[in-house]
Amino acid sequence: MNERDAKTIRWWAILPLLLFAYLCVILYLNLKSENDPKSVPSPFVGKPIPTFVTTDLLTGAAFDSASLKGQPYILNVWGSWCPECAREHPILNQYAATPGAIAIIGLDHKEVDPADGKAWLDRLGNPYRFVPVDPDGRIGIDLGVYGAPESYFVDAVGIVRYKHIGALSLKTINEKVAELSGGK
Amino acid sequence: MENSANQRPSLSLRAKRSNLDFRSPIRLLHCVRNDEPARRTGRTPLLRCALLFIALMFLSSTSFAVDPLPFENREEEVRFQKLAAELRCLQCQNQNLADSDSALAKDLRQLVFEQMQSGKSDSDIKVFLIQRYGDFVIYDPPVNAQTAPLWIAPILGFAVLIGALIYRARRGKTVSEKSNPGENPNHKPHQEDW
Repeated sequence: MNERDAKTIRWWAILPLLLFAYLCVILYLNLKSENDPKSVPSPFVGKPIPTFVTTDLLTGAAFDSASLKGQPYILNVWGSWCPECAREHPILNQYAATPGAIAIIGLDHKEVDPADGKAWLDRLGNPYRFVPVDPDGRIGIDLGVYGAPESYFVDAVGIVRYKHIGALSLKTINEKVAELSGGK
Repeated sequence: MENSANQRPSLSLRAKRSNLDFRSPIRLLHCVRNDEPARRTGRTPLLRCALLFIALMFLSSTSFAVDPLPFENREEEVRFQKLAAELRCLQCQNQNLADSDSALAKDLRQLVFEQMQSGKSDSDIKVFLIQRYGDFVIYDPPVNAQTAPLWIAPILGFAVLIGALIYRARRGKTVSEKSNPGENPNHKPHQEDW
């Protein structure tokens, strides 16, 4: 209206603008970050991994996950029905071939026909020390699996240190394995 | 089924008020056309259409994904559906366990059903799932350190807003008492100076 109005612009008049800028920054950072909004934090991180008893896909021998205690390992949940697992698989092969790699256990999750799982490993290679089977998905439920691939990084004492949802990268594997053996 | 039974009284009330007859779809359609009933009630067709639109939204009912689960009685099925509706499907995260058709949701429904059969209470089953999937599986988040901001923020926001309003009202008063209107004819203390 006049000069008085012009002078008395309050500092909070720019508050909406600041809020908008803040929102933009937050949204941009989340867009850029590798955080998958669909990944749900696992309640098992920092806790002992549930043990399970089943058979091995390749040997047919009994498998008891309690026997893994004493050394760190990666428990990778896969299935031949899972396209993202096939995409991840070369990375696992690559990691397993590096010297000093820790064991990868491949839980064959919800495989309809064991032959499919075997053929899949024949075709893509087998990076796994053991391949326990979980045909009805009950082991998966006990582990809180909600979609393959998922990977649990378990330390020598049997505590889950990290859970990865989705395909792993070699960088993530190396980082998290270093944290496992780096002693906490 | 219960849903629609519960809604019927309120719908007919609404129908009386707005002169919409929900029992006859043909009459209901009148509101879309600019014809006699609309003129008689003096409402504009646009308003009637808006009312119809809102009313129709209430007609939608939640549907459940159907599994052939062998319920022993109706009561058990109702209990199951209620529980499944309170649990979130982790594969398709905007759906509850009852609605979802994902493989995991089917397995979890089966599991919930089995646990109900073995005599576990609703809270037992929820605890079982929370231990495996975290608080994320339940729609009603518990109050803890992590979720506290969610609960406190709205209250805090309101408090700040009300505080600011009181502050401004008081300041407005003191300014009007102190100011000398003769000096500055443009000074209107009670006017908002946004």
